[in-house]
Amino acid sequence: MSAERIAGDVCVVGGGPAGLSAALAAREAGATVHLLDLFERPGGQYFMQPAAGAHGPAKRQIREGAALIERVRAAGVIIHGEAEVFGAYGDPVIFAGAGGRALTLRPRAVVLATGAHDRVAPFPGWTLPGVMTPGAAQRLVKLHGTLPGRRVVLAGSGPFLMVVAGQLRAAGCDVLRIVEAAPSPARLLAGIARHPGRWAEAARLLAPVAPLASRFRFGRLVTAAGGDGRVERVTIAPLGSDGLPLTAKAETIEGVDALLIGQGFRPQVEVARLFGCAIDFDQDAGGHHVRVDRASGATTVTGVFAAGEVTGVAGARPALAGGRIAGLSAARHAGRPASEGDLTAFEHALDFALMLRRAYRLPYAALGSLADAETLLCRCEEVSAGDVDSALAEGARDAAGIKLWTRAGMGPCQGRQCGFGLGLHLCAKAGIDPAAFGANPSRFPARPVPLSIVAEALSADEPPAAP
Amino acid sequence: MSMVSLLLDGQPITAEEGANLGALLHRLGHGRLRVTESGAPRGLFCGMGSCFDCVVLVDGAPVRACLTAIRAGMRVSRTGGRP
Amino acid sequence: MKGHIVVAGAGISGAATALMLAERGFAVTVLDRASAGTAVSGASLACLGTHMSSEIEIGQLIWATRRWAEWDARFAGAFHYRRCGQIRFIDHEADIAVAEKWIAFERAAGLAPELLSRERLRAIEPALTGPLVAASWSPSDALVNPFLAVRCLLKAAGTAGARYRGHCPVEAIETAGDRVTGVVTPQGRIAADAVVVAGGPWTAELVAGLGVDLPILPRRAQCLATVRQPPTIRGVVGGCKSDHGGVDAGYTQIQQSEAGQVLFNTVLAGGLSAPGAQHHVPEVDRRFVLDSIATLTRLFPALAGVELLRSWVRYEAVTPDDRFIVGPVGPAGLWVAAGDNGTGFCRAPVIGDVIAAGIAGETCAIDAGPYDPGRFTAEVPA
Repeated sequence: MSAERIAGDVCVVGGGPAGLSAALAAREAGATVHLLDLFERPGGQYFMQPAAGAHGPAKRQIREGAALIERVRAAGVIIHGEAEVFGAYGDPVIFAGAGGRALTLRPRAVVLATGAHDRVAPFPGWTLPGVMTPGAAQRLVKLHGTLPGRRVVLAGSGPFLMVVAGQLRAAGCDVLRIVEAAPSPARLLAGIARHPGRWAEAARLLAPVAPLASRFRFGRLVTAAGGDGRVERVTIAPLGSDGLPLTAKAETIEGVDALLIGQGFRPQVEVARLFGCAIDFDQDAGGHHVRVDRASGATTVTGVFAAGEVTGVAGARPALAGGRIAGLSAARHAGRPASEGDLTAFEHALDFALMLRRAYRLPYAALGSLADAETLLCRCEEVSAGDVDSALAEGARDAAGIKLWTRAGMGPCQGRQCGFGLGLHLCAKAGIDPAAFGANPSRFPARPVPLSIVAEALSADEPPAAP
Repeated sequence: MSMVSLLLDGQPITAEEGANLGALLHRLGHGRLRVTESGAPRGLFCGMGSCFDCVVLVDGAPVRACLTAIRAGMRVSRTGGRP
Repeated sequence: MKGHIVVAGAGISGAATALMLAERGFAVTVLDRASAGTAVSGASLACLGTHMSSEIEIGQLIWATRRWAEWDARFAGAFHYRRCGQIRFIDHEADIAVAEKWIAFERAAGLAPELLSRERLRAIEPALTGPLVAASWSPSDALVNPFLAVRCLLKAAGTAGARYRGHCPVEAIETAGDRVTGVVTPQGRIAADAVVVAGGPWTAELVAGLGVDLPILPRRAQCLATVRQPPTIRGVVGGCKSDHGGVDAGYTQIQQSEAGQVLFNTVLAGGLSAPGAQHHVPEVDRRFVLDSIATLTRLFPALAGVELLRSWVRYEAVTPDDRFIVGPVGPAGLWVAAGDNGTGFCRAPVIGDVIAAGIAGETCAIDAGPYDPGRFTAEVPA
């Protein structure tokens, strides 16, 4: 089978709010647009779409997403589902696998809207079945009619925990506790109070979780999960005045069958790295993220634009606004007469997101102290904190050294899950700045991909013009 | 959505065509989808194709169960997800 | 009281040198610009082989492989040493004579390579079912885990009293009169009686400031790795040395790591890069990826559907005659050990012994002649 070769004006990578918004804007400006998305149905995380019908507390959100997707399709954007980009070069050229087929795309402009995944700091017991991210639980409930468990604990930090808590309760879970690292909801409420335009939305999100008010535990971290073959109990501890967990005051919640834990999100910068885009680091924005010019969505690589979570975690409204700006810029780069995007609307949406970031600043030192010697820091290759500490003792100090000496980051997830935990641990143990620690540098391929697909995709590409 | 037959670790089961394999295995396995090289049990973790903890073999090839839709006649193996 | 030696570069050459110096009673400080073993050595496919390698160095290679086996025994398998043997596949009838010449030469040196019948090939490498004309086989060739080897030797050097500092690049080598006196690093000056530069492609620029012009240039090398597989490929598989074009004019190496990943690369005779290229590591190039996959899946058709997981690029240090430069250069007390040419990993014990014996003023165990820095006439600066 040979690869499908696609040209066109604009290729959008990622079909969440930012990607959909970018695709629509570019298309409406007259560009031919191809959108690549990982899932069967686009929507990303925020606009995830069930197979049939919208129901539950998220139905308004599902409908909003469905409406946007319908507009995108109706406008003539071609959506390639179940597609994963594994290679990209600055021509620009994009190589992807879609099902068992290879795709080779040579657009004039690219918009990267690859989003983010839940970020989890390692702790003892975090690899037990039943311990998963809030995003995973949300997918199970919203799309697959499946409960993560019947008696669940939500933990970590951020408003997303409350969103998921409300959805789980509506689906029939007994939400035993919501363990929030922030000391109280005071900053969040004060921040919301300053944005009257978001009060209705905030009320909609908070209403389903209001009956769970007594289940909240503020200023606490999960310090361990235990159980025989799956999670059965969760230990939580308050943060002491030194910013570290007070194990003396720990309490254990019994009778648990699912722990949903996440501390924000990590931008998926892999494809941007393949293009050579400049990447900045800001732990509160999710860590490594793509640098863009806000007014245009341009990255540091000509013809490559970016929007949404991958440029810094900020939620759906900035993603929609930033996506539009990037889509218009991409269309313009491809030679279509497109207007400039609305920078004011974008920055206004960002203000709210930045308020949320400040309200939910994570206790990084505490998170970095949770792992014991047996705790796995790299889930894929089963590399423990003790293994990493041995490498540290022998002088390894950066991602490359730790990776080569312990195999951390060499597994199929290619360092996506372990980067956050490794950075926290190295900071806690050796004072290494997580930004200086460096990410697992993205190398081709950005995803595991069958050799035959790689060969088909690369063979199908026209050779670049001779210099 | 119709019910179809498939094989799970050699045993016939029925499930809804097009439904999510990861969700099915989560229910059937009480959260447990596979076992690592060192023998540790694992289940769904990220749910969106990023962590590779849900890898199982479908018709001999490794796939992420969270991204896989159920089809009639699939041969799913939970014991061969990783060598 | 023996002197203090600074070894600049903690790859396999620097680590082996540090160990041998420390065991001779020298105070040793090993420095690396990053983490030990993470530049050239860590990316190496680390085949310890005598087959189709070098006529001039056959004695040194045999000696080196014996030292590696001793290290494996001494360090109780710390770096996954595996005497798995090496196959060289032959695609052109005319190259059978080339292979037979190498086989005869190596046999005369006491080794036991042979040309394989189809049945023997199937028995030795059952998964190698793709078409080829013939194959040679060297049973004594071995593989190690390169990172673990560097780590192990460095640790042993530490046990013998050496100190290692990573993320401490040598910025300059100091001299007084015509003698080396130490090195300058971001963490301060380090006084030394001798400095060994085992800096791979960084070597030339480190000594250029002292008026030493070494003909060492960087050359890009790339490699690919699949996801872990059940044991499939038993030994090292390489292409026969050939005068014909195509893959045979370049280099192929395929093997399966201890962890199960299939590591493979096929490089057509690649060009040299400009000095300084090693500072910016680029992405793998597409032609290389296609050539490598084509070769791997031609020889091992069962692997066509296996997933590619990783790629890496590194810069080898290349010399005009494909051999290391090991010995004293320039001011008194300055030694170099560089020029891996992509196949240098095996020679680490040789390098270590030549340098350590040289600094100690003793005779080294093997003939260091092939590596003499003086073998190049004065180069006209580029």
